[in-house]
Amino acid sequence: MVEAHLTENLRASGRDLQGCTITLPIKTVDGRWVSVIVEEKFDYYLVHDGGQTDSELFSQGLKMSDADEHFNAAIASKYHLTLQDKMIQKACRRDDLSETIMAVAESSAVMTAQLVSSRLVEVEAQEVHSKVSEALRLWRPDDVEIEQNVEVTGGLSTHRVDFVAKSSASAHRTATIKILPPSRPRDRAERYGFMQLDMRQTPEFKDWASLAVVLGVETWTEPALQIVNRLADKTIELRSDQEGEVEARVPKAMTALARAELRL
Amino acid sequence: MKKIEQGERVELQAVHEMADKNGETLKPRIRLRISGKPKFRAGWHVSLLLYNKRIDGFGYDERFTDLDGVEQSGWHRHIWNEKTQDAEGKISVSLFDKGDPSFRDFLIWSLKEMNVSCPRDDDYANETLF
Repeated sequence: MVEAHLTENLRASGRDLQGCTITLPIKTVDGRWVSVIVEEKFDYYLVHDGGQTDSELFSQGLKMSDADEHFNAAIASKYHLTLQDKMIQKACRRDDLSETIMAVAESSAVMTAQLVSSRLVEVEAQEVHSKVSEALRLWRPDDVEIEQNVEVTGGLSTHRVDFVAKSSASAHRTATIKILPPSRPRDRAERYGFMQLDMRQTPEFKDWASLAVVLGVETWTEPALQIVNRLADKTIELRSDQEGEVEARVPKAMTALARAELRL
Repeated sequence: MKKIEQGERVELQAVHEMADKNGETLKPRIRLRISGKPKFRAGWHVSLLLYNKRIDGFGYDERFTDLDGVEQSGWHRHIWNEKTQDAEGKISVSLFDKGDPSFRDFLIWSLKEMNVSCPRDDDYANETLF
């Protein structure tokens, strides 16, 4: 039964200028059948994906940053393949042809795991969290302690913020830093708004300043952004291609929040 | 076009003004992405993204199942689905059945079908579309 399924779903096109295209009984995370191109050279075969995997990932919104490309190259390497010129590929002799075709197909399918959006969001947020952490460490004045992943219990609920810059002197105001990833922006904005309002009603936190770091701002709707802008003391909005700027913008924002306090 | 024909990925952005269900004006950033190796049509993609999600696009698959559940092969268009809020569903398109199109033919046809206007000069990658 399994053999019949595998045989039925194995297809090969005729040879043309591109070589022979073999479609295998393997599906990607986004539900595509994987195809592999085999080009016959003089005394060897070049097996590759024609750049389809890279192109698919890009067309579905993946940034294809250096980190993404390194990740893909690492996957290819695990299958003893290379990722060259945006193609998963390997040159092989006839004896290794079947194994190489399978390796290219499996590698292609595994790379599409990046399309699981929660992973994309998670990885992005983690990268930014590390950058913000480093920026706060470098910015930190003597009277300020930085705490990470802090739970704050308000009058109505317990909330989690990425950082609290806790000041022991009146020269600086204690501030929370919350990173808002780009998935479900409206929900995130409303949850952030609820947290801010709850903290303001709690005597212990009512004077704390707040910095919101909005990631992938191009994916946020205007009403969602307005909620964050109205309720945070300061907002850093970053497009997907601007996340590298966070290290430069966090210290400026933190200094501005401290200055605002001095004016009060 | 030179960049595209050299196999580079290209992204062009534009702000699109529209109204939401409540009549509020939205100005989302729409991105057009073009990618693929000119020699291998299997990787050719034109994709329109809103909020980092594909809302329209064209591509080529040796094997795919269309929205009616029928197995197809070849050129396809991604169709937006209101219910699932994605454009993963595909329909077969016959625009390119007249011979073997070049990557350039594919782009011109796809952009025309998506109502994306092309700049007149030859360097699409340096122009803003829409």
